[in-house]
Amino acid sequence: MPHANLLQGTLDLLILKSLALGEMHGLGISRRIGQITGGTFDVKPGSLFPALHRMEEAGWLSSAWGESENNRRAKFYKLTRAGQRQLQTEATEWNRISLAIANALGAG
Amino acid sequence: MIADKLTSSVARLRSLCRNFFRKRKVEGDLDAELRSYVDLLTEENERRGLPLALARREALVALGGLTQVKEQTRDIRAGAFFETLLQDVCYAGRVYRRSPGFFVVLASTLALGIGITTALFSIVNAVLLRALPYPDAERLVWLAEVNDNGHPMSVSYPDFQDWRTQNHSFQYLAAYGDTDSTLSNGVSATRVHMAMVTADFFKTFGTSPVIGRTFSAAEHRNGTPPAAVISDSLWRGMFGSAPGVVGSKVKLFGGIPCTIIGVMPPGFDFPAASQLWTTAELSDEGMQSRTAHNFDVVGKLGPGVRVALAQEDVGAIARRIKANFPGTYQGKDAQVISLHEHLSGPVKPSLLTLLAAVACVLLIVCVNVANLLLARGVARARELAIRGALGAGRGRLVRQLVIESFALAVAGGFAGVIFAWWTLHILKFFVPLSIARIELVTIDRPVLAFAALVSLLASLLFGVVPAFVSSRIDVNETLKQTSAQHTGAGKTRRIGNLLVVSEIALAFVLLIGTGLMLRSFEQMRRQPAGFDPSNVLTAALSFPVLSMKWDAPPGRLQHFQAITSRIRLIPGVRYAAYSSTLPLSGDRRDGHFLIEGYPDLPGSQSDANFRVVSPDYFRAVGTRLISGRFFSDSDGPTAMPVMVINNAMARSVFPKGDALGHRIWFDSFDPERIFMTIVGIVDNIREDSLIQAPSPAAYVCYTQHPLYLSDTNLVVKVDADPQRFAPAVRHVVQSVDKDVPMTFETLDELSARSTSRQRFQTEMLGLFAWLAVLLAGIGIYGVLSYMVQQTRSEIGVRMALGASSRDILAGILSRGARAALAGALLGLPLILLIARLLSSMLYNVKPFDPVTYITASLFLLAIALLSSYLPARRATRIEPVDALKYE
Repeated sequence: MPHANLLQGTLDLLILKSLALGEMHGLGISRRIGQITGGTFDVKPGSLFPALHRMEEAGWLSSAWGESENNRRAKFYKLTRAGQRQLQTEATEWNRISLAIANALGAG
Repeated sequence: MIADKLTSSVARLRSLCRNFFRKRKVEGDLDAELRSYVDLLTEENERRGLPLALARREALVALGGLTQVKEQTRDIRAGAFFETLLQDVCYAGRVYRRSPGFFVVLASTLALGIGITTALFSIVNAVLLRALPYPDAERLVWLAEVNDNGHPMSVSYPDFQDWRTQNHSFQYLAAYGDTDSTLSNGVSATRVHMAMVTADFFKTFGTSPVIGRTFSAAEHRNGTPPAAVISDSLWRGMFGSAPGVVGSKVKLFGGIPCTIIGVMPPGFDFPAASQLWTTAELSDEGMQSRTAHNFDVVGKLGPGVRVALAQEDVGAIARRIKANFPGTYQGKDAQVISLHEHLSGPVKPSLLTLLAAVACVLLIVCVNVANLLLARGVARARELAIRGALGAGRGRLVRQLVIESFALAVAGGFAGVIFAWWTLHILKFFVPLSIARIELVTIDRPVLAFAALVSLLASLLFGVVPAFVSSRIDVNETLKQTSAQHTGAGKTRRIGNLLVVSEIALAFVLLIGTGLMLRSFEQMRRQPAGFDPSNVLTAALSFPVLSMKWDAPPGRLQHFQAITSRIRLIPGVRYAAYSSTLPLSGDRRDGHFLIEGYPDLPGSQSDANFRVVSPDYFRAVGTRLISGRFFSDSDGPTAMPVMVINNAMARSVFPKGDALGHRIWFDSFDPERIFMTIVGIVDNIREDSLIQAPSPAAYVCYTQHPLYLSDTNLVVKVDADPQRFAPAVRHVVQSVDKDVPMTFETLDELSARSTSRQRFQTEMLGLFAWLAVLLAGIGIYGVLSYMVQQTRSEIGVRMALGASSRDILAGILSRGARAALAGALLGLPLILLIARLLSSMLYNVKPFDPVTYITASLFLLAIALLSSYLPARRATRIEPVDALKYE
């Protein structure tokens, strides 16, 4: 599996994006990120959980205990209103930067 | 955006509260969440067809260490810093609780260092740093005339008046002179220190009386009616705090009637612990003469005026006066310095030296503590390695160790302040008045701040290096070791050696400094004093120029003669005599003289101290006659006027050695033109101090100068303990005047007092040097003991291979000696740095005095060998078999 170093801030954006469709538990988020990035990113628990807790403390995520598809207890995260706004802001910002970088690389 | 920020900060605050107050739930949650992650992953793996055990194992591997993930998650939580800090503090507490002995030794060593530093700083603070206790104290200055040789001298009243009226710099300018006097209120008589002051004296200090008033313009104009202002302490003592003290009649100098008009607030006692103030105009003696330099001058600068400007201003006035009155006794310039500098200047070098010395001791203390912590760091390597393995980063480990040091410093600092407070109580008995008035030395806020700062700096000094060294561990290697013995031992030992060498260097510097001071003090005491202070009782006698009792028939001179002849009859008394000044008292009465048949000598060569003595004075103080004769009873009032001069005057005025027979007139003291014939030359009696070179002095016989018999000293040479004779002597004097107050002091006491500052300084330095050497010795002992313990097996192998115990012993002793040598070499450049400061305090000793350097080096070497001996002995007792088994 190809490994890419997660840029600072990239992980936040990916977590926010993966939660955009609905609530999910930690393993689910990590699987979803792998899926939507075509396996480019493999988020390890050592990065995932600190990030989830940090974003929850920032008020972007909220969490609640619930049942997994196989009736296992798991902690589910979902976006708050602030989280949705944060996703928009970060996505816009990311698009702007990636466009700029792409232009820069394409030039001359 | 603002709303987002708000919700975000509210969320953070909520998390912060939750993290702090519902810690158990938060922790439980995290635990459950991670367990659920593993369960889910296990399930996923099972679905991929793995057996349960393997599925679970893979899931755990994928998690990558439960405690590490937890630790990383905790670290990002709000308030994590403080929480872990609290953990570290608690952990430090546990570490020390586990080894209280270690903690107590370290904390009390620190307390010793911080304590003496703080105690000394409190003196420095009171004497050098704290502002004088007057409003606008920074504007107060002290002024003096500058004589032809460039030295400051007292100011004459007419010069002062010119300065006062012509300057443009001062808000107030006041002159004062101080003296001892007798004060009687009809009931009792006491000796007081008093000042004669001009108008504006109290205004200069911005101080007004708490009861009554100060002097009126009329009282300043001609000194009548005579009035006095008294100090709070005199009011409480002599007058029992009587509210109606104003208006009381007292007698000054035992006879001049005076009315008390005011009481000053507590603490005001300028100059020199004065208890009473009168107007300078009370006596008009010498007030018109520009050559009578009787006054000191204080001034309060106008707002915004700088000292340099005032100096320029008054200097110009002084130079103008000199142009008009070009005599040798006229100052050629003026000097203006801050009053604070004038008062604290003389003791500044001593105090700074002592402070530097005590800082050395503190550094040595820190080095010793650092060394102990280093050794302990090695012993704790496993513990630290385990913490590292459980997810603590290096930063966290360093922080843990620094916090432990800090806890040590806090404990040491607190104990140190208590120790300092206690030290000050003891110092009270040792600090001479000439250094500091100990009652003004307090542990106040600046001192506490200093103690806190010193503790903090100390904790950085002794804590940081060991923390970085000890935390740099290879987790795998350390945990693989069966014992903690060898981990980083070599490196730690090298740093330990370096620390010990540096503390030896500091101790060496202190030893040298102390050695030089000791030698200087010895030199000072070995100076020929020109008199023999043993078994001499002295008493100051002071009464009015006009006194009913003393001038009653048969007359003053006869009373004086009767007193001495009756004292001579007391068994055990050898001589009884009078002298207007006592040796080493610093009292001087300088006068200008002319030699018959000679032109006026240039500069200050024609000045000499003028002293009035009785014939037996030289015998009573044991001064040697060089040539000619002493005074005798035949030198009566009607006989030829005679004079005895000291050797210094004989040499400077009559270099050809033909002094005897010349006739001299002191125009400063004898209004009538009386030439006195030099009949004898005596040894130089040190009048100011043992250090100052003897200055020219002339002695005249009291029978021929009865006017000076109102302010003199009785000098009685006895066979045994002089204080035992005091009651009998008092009895004799009081048979003439029962009111005359007498305070007795032996010449030995007077001599001791004159060197009290040097003695204090030398003794304190000695104490610090002993401490430094002791601590350095402990340091050497510690490092070598540690080394012996670390290299047990190596020593064992060497012994098994045939090394004798003498070889082992010599090897370790030579290590101690090498450390001492390296320390001394490292210390030398440090001494070069302080040599200049030292040389200003040394007397007759060069800062590079070889005797001192050799002695100090040998002493240091002896201490190094002594402290290496115990570890070396232990090394020789190692049994090769045991040592190898120990591995």
